[in-house]
Amino acid sequence: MMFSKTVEGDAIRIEISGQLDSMTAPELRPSFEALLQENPKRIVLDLSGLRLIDSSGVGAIVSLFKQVRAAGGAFEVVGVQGQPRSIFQVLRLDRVFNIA
Amino acid sequence: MYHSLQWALPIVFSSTGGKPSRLWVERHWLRTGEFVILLRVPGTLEYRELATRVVTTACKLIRESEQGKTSGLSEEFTYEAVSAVGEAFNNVALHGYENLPTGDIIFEVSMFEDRLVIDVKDFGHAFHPDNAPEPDLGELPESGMGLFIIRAFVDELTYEPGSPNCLRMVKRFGVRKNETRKVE
Repeated sequence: MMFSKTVEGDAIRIEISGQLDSMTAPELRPSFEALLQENPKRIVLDLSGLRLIDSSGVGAIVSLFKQVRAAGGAFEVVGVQGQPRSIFQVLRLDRVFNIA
Repeated sequence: MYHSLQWALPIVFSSTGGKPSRLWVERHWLRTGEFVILLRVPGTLEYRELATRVVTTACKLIRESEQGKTSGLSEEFTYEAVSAVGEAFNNVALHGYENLPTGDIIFEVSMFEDRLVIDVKDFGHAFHPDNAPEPDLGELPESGMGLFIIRAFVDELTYEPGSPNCLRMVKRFGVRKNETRKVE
C-alpha cells in the first residue's frame, strides 16, 4: 500500500494505491490523524491505483470521511475501479461518495 | 493425476520473504476440466494476500476454461470471489484464533462443471453466521461488514463448526449475483 498527499489550492489530494486491507489499513491511521490536524476544507481521495480493498480498508476511509465532514470539510472520492468498485457498490458507498 | 504447483512458489516467496515452514499449496485434477487447489497457511494476516492470489489464479483458470467462456464469466466473478475469501480470512485471523495459539487456515478451492466451491477451514473458535448482526449501511459502519460482503458475493453460504470449522462458499457460473442479491 502506498499513500501520498498533495496540496492543490484549498484541497488536499490523497492517493492510496496497492492493497488496502486488514494488514495495511492500520498503517494509515497516523497519516489520517495528521491530515485531520490540518483541518482540510476539501479532501480528494484518488483511488485509481487501488487494486484491492476489504472491509477494514473501507472502515478506514469511512472513518476519515466522517471526521472530515464533521469538521465542515468536503470529501470526494475519484478513480474507483475494479474490485474496490464492487465493494463500494455492495456497501452502497458509491451513492455516499457519488461515484459515477 | 497430481501436479505439484510450481507456479505458486514465486507467490509464496514474494509474500513471505523466504520459505515458510507451515505452508503448502497443491493442485489436483478431479476429471477433465475440474480441479481442486489446496492451500494451507498459518492463520495470520501476513498470509492473507497469498490466499487471495490463489483464488485469483483459480478464477483465471475458470474464466479461461470452456465452462467459463460458455458462462461468460466476467472480471466481476473474480472480484466477488476474492472479496469473499479475503473477508473469510480476516474472520479467522482476527476472531477465530483470538486468545488462542494461532493455528492454520486451509483453503480448498474447487472448480466443478457449474460452480466454484471454496471451503475455508480453521481450528479456532466457532461462530454461527446467522447470529452475526447485519450492518446498517445507512449509518456508514466502520466495522462488522465482513460477513455481509461474503453473503452478498456468494450464491450459497454454509458453516459447520467442528475441528476444523468449515465455511463453504459457492459461486455458480452463469448466475449474476448482483441481479439476485437480497440485501437491498
